[in-house]
Amino acid sequence: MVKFLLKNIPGLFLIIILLCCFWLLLHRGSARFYSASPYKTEATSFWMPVQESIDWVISFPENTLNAIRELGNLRKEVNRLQLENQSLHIELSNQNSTESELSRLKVILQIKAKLPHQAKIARIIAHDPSTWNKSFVIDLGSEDGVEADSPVISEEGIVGRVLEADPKHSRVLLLTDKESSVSGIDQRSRVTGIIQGTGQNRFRYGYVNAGEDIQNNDLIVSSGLGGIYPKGYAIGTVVKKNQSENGLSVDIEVAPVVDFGALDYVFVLPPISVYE
Amino acid sequence: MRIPKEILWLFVIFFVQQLPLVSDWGVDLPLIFVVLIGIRSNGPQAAGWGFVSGAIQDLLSSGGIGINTISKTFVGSGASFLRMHIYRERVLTQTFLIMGLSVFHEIFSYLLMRWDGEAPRAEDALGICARSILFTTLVGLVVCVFVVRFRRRRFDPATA
Repeated sequence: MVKFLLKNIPGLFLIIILLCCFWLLLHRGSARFYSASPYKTEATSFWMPVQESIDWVISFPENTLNAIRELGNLRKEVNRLQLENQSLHIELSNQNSTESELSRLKVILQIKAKLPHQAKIARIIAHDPSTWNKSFVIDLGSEDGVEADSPVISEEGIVGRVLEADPKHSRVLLLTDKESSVSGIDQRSRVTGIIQGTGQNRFRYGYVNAGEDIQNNDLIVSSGLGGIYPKGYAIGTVVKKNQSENGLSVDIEVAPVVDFGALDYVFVLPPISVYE
Repeated sequence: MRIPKEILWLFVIFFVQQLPLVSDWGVDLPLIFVVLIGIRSNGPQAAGWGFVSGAIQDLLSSGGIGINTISKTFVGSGASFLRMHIYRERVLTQTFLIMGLSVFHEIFSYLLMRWDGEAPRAEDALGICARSILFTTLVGLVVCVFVVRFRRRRFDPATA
């Protein structure tokens, strides 16, 4: 028997294989066959690293070649995406600035509607190039009804007055210019004085007697005297008060309520003589 | 017809000079321009550029005509005169020159305004001058760095 078996090993081996295949065919559809078994798990955990390594060795040259082939396309794609990104950034910032401009214009229109006098909205187009003078040019001129000495205000308070108007543009002398002055009144104590420009971002509240009741943070508004600026518009707040050397008057510094550096639109009122 | 590049520069300078930040800080770009032109030109040319840029500044300003024109003519002449005594392709030398001539310009302008009767009070004038000299010098330093680098690259690439 043993002799017979030894003689026919290949035949036996073939029969065993065929039986295994037959058994596999019979159990092909059963759920149990496919369910995890410890042997399968062991076999998988043993074989998979080997499989992976072989797969990597086989696919490496192909992947490398593909990657090299793709590099050119990728660079083009990156450039295209960068350009698209830039244009989207520009578009977004344009949209943001348009939105903020729109909301600012809405606010300006609301303020214009509330103003007691017929105001014109003007855009600032250039500032004074000289370091000693404070003025700017607006895009409204005599053709738009702007006249010399028309008061110019912003939503915060008085900005200045029109110095000269040509047909298309006008020059506005700021209240901070050394040549500017306006009659002011302390809103709390009703003490009057003259607000004078200093050429810097400060006013001087002059012609106030030493004993007058002026305190820090008092709001100074226009008194309506002087024939240029209408009454009741804010000018600035008191920030510093020094007694003069002779003790007869006080030197009062006033900070403007208007942020002159941030202005881009202003309101031009008709000259005071028109409505008073 | 060839337009001198200085005229194109003048356009750019006056466009920038009339922007809100530049004028608020008291930066005097035309002065920097006149000094940098002055140290590379002969006397009459430098004075001419000073006169032109000062006159434009006066015309575009709300102040009286003549103050910047006269002062900048002297600044141009001064820069042209000093070019004989300095090594001009050096950032610090140019910056000191800008600072010195800015001091001269501010004092001279103040004296002219006093003579004219439109000067601000002395303490205000001091503030205006100090701010203008400081910011003109700082901006001048940046401009000089660019000018010197550019000229080196153009005329002497070995030392660039």
